[in-house]
Amino acid sequence: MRTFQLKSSDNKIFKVSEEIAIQSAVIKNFLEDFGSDSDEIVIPLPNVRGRILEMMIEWMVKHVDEELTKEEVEDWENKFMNDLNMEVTTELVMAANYLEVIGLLHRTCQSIADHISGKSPEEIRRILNITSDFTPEEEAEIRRQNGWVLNPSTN
Amino acid sequence: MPSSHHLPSTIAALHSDILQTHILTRLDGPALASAASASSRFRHLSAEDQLWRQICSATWPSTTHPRIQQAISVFPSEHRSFFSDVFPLLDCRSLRCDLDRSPSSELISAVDIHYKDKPLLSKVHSTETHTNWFLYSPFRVDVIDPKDSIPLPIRRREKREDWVANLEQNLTASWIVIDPIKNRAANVSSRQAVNVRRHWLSGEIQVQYTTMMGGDRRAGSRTEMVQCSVVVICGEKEEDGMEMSVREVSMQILDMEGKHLNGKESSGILGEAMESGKRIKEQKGEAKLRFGEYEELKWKRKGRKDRIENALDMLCVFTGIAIFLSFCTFFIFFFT
Repeated sequence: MRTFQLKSSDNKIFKVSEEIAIQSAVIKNFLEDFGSDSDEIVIPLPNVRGRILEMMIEWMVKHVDEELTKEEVEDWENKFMNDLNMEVTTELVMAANYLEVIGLLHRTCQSIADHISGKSPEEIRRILNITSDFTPEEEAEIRRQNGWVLNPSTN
Repeated sequence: MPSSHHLPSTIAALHSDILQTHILTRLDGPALASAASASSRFRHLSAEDQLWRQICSATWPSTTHPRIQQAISVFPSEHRSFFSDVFPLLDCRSLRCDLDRSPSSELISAVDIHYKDKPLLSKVHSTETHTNWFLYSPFRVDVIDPKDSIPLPIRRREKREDWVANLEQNLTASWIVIDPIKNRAANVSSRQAVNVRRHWLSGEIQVQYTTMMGGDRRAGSRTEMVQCSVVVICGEKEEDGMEMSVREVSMQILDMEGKHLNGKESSGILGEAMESGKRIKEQKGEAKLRFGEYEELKWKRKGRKDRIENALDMLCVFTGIAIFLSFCTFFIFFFT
């Protein structure tokens, strides 16, 4: 099994095996196109910082571990996602999208969707760190059309 | 920040494509409506009709019917307007309706019954509303053919007494009415059952999903308030007594005396409900509470009516006695 190196935007180097790294469609294509027999290949990833790349590799390692059952991987993944804040989750979404790690992209997007579900617009703004930028006319229109969602969630 | 690569990542940094195809598609209707009200970017991204179409067909399978699709396609913002018309609970108690107004020419019903959140039945029914026969006969829409029945997935070994509780808990109904001329719609069902009772003779179980509506609001009138009632009747299959099936699904509007309104009055009320009924967030148990209030109102009204009738009866009796007595006195006086 070949191993090679991934270099993050802040110049951190991670050694990974091919089996793990080809979960990223981008890396897989890269290796197919420029594959050499040398173990010294360094793939630069200027859009991903070290901490995020480390987490991604951690996720990918778990997903090729044959000693774990499907349920065990799921349990681990749920815990992994729960421990992340919204900022890191968003960065992971971007990294997974950039490197085309489809499983991770789906799981992180699901996590964001789960955070939004059942929340009022005001709560969503706080969770996603966005501000309301509606014109008064739009605001009135929303109130008229969707007044029922504006109340805080009551569960 | 030592490196320009690490800027704080907020959701704003995400590409619109990711937001739209990977995050918004994972939201249910209320969450999507909520997100659309959070910022103008989200509002813009969630305007995509496909998102709402998927939510509509997942929530109400009947909306995939070609007739319903055609009706929704001319709504102001298609599935999004339809969803915000239909998903919230309808609050029509403060409505004042003109029962004489001429109805739109067609009323479409899209009906979905779920058992434990699994679709059991989806039907679409169109009612022509301008014939005299419709206008002046009692209003009632039925969506199951009398010969058909839909089997319910209730286990055989369950006790009959438990069926009532089981149905009350797990059987939910949605009845969407659509005015294809004015492009408005409303859900007239309470979703959760407000009343379940077993018929003492036939053993059939009647499950009721009722929405209270303001009628003509004239004090003392029989249509002061009305109830729009979706009724699901479940019975045992004849051949083997332990299996349940849905036999009837109907919608009607009843006045305060429990009598059916005619087509003209009913379509006046439904039209007003679609146009000006308030849309509110569903709160558990609220519909049942309102149903209770309405029943109480009906009882009070009946009590008042009975008292007036009793008083009138007494008055008649006394007048009778008085006349009789005066006759007697007159005869006694005359013959002595």
